[in-house]
Amino acid sequence: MPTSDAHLMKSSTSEALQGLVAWARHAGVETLRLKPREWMMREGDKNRSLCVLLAGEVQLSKAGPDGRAQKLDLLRQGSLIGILSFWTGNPSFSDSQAIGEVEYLKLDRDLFDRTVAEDAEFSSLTLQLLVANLSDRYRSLVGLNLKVAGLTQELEHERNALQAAVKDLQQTRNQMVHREKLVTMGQLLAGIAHEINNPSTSLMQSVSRLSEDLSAFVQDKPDELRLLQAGQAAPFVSTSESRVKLSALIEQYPDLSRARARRLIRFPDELLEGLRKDLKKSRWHRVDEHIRLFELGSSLHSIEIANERITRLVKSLKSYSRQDEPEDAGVDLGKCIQDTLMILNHKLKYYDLSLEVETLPVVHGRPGEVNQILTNLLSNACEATEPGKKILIRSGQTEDVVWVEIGDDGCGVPEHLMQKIFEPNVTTKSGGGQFGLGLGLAISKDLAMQHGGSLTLRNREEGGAIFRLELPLQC
Amino acid sequence: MSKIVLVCVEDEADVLDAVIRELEPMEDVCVVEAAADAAEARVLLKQIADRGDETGVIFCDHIMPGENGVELLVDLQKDDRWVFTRKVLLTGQAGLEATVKAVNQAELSHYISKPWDGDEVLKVAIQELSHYLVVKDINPLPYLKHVDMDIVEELMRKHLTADR
Repeated sequence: MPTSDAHLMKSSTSEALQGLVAWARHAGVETLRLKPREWMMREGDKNRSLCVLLAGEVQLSKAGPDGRAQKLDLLRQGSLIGILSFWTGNPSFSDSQAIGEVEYLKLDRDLFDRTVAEDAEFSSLTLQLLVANLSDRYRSLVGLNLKVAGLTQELEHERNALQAAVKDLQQTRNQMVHREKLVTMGQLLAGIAHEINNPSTSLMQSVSRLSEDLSAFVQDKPDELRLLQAGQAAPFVSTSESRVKLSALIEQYPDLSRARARRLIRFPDELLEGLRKDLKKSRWHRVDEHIRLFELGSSLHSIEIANERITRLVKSLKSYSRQDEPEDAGVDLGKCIQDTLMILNHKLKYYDLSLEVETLPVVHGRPGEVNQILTNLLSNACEATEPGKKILIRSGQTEDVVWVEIGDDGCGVPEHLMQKIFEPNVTTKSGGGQFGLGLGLAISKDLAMQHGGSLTLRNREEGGAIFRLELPLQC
Repeated sequence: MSKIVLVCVEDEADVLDAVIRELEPMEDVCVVEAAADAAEARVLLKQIADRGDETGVIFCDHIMPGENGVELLVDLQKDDRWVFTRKVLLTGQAGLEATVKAVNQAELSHYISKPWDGDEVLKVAIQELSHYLVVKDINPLPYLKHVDMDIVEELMRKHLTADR
């Protein structure tokens, strides 16, 4: 409301008040006084009078839902108190308490009714006051509503901000837990690698000693030595190949048992030729002697091969899980790729792997973390690709960076997820026992950026997705 | 007379070798054959059927390059030629889902988890061969050396009476 109107109202209120005071003096209604904190009216009281505030301030308050008093209006000179209960006859709606020294008139119901009927001026004065009071209260109500709307909005903003903060915290926490897990796993791996390494070394030594001793043992017997050595050099025979050879052998020597024939498959032709007579004449103990020596050799060889596999695995485990690597141990991307391939061999062997890996210069960085990125990308590629289909790994360098690309033969990444996929908690893996926090790519990207590099994604024209990791040559 | 064949499907050559060796005693009465993956197994099974022999038991790994073991077993169950073949999953990696599928859709007879103890594979082979004889109502006499008498007792009595 414009100020001039407000002013007009103020002046008319004070005029009406002056008139009322004059009337009261004339009618013999005395002015009442309250000391600070004294009650004028209590909520719930029966009220039969209308109070007119002449001087001082009165605080209206009402018990809230929790029982505590909520402040309502602060009433000043000219205010009417007890309007509602006076006219409706209901118990008093609120508490009214003097703030400072207060002067007021108390118009009793009977007096009021009588005077209104008799005194036209009194009616007009009270009416004026009443209108002024009501419009005052209406104005403050509107003001309050606006304030409430403002507060609600503010609250909404705050709530949103709070929710975002909580989500942020959760993500950070998840990432930290995930990293902690990886660190623990790394320590575990390093420990296991160490524990396996010792027995594996002793195994290797025993086998080579055994092999030497055996060779020395049959040194003077050329036939036996030849068998032993042939066993050690025995080739791998595929199942289909061995089926053909097996039936050929049995056809040639009908009395030969399948078990013996299966052993003889791996014999080189000249040794088999040497056994021809014994086989024809069913001299099984002679045949078995040959088989035994040959298998002694091939078993030794198998142990060596198996142990070599263990040694390679342990080596990869060690370099893969390098825990206390210095801030900058130098990253040989090619070696990182080899280590990671070794670790993931159990998964990758079911895919058609296409490797185009160049020898690359060593760049600054932490190999353990680069391995982690590669592991993430390769595991993702496996999950996106059906076994038997292609997974490609290639690497190279430009003027500024070394890079590795890992491509899968899955269905690619939909356009709208291209950026989102690097955000935490975005996963395309659905339940079914698959474990995925949706953190792998977020962490990988984070690690790449910590290295001053980048991790990007594009779809292949022929289907599937390609992730590209770049590490700067100089940083 | 048609022979009963025990077929092993396994991609790891060392493991396959171990299984075959363990099954070798069975060759007194049966034939043991090997395949390195599901595709080869399909060819082999067909060859066995074509030459008039029957595949009594198949031991199959689950995770192999190419088609997995459970898919192979489920497929075999749909074919009259192999519906009675006893199906054994020999694996360390099949998850619950795959195993449930094998049990429900391939009527899996037995599950051996890797690594297995001692002569478990041989014991299972004897037991499954015995069941196969019962299901197919084959006279167990020629197989007596490697059958489980508890399983074939009834069948034996029946065939002995018939002989008389």
